[in-house]
Amino acid sequence: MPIKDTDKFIVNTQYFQGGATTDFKMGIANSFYYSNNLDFRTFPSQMSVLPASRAIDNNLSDLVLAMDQDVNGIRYGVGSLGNLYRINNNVVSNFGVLPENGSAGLLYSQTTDSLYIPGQSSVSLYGRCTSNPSLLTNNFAESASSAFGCVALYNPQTGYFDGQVGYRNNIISSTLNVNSGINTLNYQNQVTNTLTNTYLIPSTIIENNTNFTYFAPDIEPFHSVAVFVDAIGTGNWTLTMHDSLNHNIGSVTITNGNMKANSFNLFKFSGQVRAIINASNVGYAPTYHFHLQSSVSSDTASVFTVNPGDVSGCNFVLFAYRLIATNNGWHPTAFFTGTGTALLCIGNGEYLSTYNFGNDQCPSNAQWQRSQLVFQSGDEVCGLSTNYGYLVIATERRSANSSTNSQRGRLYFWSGKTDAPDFFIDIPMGSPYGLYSFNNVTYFACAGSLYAWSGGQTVIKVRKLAYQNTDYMNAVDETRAFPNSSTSRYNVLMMGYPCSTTDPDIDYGIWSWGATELTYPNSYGLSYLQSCGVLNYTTQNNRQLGMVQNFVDSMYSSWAYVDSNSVQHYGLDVIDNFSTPASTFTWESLIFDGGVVYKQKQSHRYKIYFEALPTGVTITPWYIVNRGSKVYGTPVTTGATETFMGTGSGRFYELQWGFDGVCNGATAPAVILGVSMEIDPLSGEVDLEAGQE
Amino acid sequence: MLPDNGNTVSDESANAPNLAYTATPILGNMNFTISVPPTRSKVANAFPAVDYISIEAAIFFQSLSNPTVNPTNIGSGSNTGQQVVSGQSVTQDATGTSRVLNGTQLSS
Repeated sequence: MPIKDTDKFIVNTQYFQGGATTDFKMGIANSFYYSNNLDFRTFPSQMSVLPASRAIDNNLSDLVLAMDQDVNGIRYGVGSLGNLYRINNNVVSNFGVLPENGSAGLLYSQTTDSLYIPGQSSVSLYGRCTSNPSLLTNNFAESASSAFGCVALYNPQTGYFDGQVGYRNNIISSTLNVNSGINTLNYQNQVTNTLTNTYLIPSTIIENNTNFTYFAPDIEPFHSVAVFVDAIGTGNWTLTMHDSLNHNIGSVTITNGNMKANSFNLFKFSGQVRAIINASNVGYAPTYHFHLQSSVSSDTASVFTVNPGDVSGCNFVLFAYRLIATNNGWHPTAFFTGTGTALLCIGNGEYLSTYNFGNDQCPSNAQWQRSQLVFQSGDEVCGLSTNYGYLVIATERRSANSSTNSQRGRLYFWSGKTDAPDFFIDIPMGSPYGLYSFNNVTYFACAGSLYAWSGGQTVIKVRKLAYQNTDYMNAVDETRAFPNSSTSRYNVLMMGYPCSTTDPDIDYGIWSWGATELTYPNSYGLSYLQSCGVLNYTTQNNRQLGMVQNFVDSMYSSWAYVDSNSVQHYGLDVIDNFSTPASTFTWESLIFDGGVVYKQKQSHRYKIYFEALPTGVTITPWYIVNRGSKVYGTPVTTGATETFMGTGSGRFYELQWGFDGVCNGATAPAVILGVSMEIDPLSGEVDLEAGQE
Repeated sequence: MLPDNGNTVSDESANAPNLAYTATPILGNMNFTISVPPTRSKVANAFPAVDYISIEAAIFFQSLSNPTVNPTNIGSGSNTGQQVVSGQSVTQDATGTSRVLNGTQLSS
């Protein structure tokens, strides 16, 4: 309630549990505009300096994107360039590197005592972690289709690839153990040829169904096609893959000198060939077909086939990559038991891949299902989490063009009881990043803000993280939170944010959301700055934050930046029970205008009261008049219990105050008890605005 | 309650969870108030505060007002080939959403 204008008064702040606000001037009770490295929750009637995030290694080879821990408490990390790290008692060692970039996925199975580590197109294995472990790079790589649509011939009488008119080989056969997978390493020993009829390879592409080999794939993206050759002739061989409209979607040429007669020859595409899987086939228009050509006319080159002169029955094996190379570069992992079976779940572009740990040596396609769930075309999984019996899958449609950003997102929920997601929620605001479930509330960051879901058909926008929109930013917004950037620590959600951005105004760090107990409101603040000391992005420093992972009392976070000499730096921080106070800290009040912004007020004195400052701590008060520059007071240090500064003429329309602190070798945290500003409402002055009393 | 002595805002009674009844992602906060509103000339002696809305309460009431529906329980292996889904199984959940993909499926 407004008071008599003749009275000076004190604007006193000595409870702080409201945390940082969205607005400059108002927030929930006992909030403030900004702080960093300060704990305003543990004891809401004070603020104390939080532990420093200290580097346990500042010379890593890449940016750690995921971490997990084995049964003995050894922690493991995988980096953006595929480097693998072991963290034992906070000593980091590099124990290998993937043949391709890491993809923010890493999962430890205690049953197999192994790490499953997705790269860009395959998955590597490290185990057994606690007993003479070895790294099997690309252990789960391309494998062969064992579907009727590829192995059996098309039956025009039934309209199916049902095998009634023949099989190409023994893949669907009691003589082949199809419970184990067929890959490019073992197929020559496992897949046989019993065909004796032949087809002469033409030198041109002929579009009729006896001059191409058509099939309906169940797996993709295509890696290669192995064709069993009769005679190699004299020309070079070309395999050309067509879709049903005869578009060329991939072709491979093998020189004649590299061909082998009476043997499988592997035509490997230069990149991944994307395809539609499990499409219905009708008549003679199946989904895909390939042509074989020789560079020489009337060549004697030939392949074995079921019916003479008809290449549709040739003996071939289709291989597909284990993982899709995504635009976002991610294959996040999660452990899920909703089907009743322990499953390794991997976000695989527009699919959810699952693996039942059934055969680490060479799983079949039934054991390792590339496309357990199918999402919208173009979607790419950007986060996995579990919530009350559901696997929660966040997808985004990431633009491949760096001058445009993501287009949309979606949350899928899967109970494991159905062949499709149980339900979904569109996230048209952007990509749902940093997916994390905590107390069965699933949080994610999207378009600068924090969202939550826990039942119901809508998501709730909780609050602003960094921005409400990017109006006037004058750059394409590429603000992202990576798949493993959120964690929980002592009942509070911790978010590494941003992980990458083009916005130079967002402070990098670990932001917190929550309350220490039921009594107090959830609040928000920048709790921990990383050790690298680079707070904001510039085009020169390319600042990034890779992940945040908490293990009860030890919280790890990774960082990257380029220094002024163009040297790239990567590091890993930890906050644990041995951390000393953060080296700097800051607090800023809301802007005060007394509810009468048009009227001048006057400040007189400003006081901060605290417990006697520990050795090494310095606090410097400041205030800002009318959104100008900071006016600093005299710093106080060890042993001081207050700062006190005058504010000059003190006239203002808007006034903000705060303090900056430094802990130079301090081993105990500073504790701030209250912040008070003396205000004169200048009630005797005639107000300046015409029309006012 | 407005502060009357120039000290820190101490009233958090607005944190009562039923406030979440009036705040939804669709309708916004229909009960938005500022504890120290702007005035004509009278200088307020504290920062303005707005009501706190508990996310737990908001989620709880969201779930009550528009709950998700458990899906029909149909798993792999029971709906392929020549089989016809019949008997106790249904192909739509309570909302009428189809939970079965009808059409030809390839065996594998």
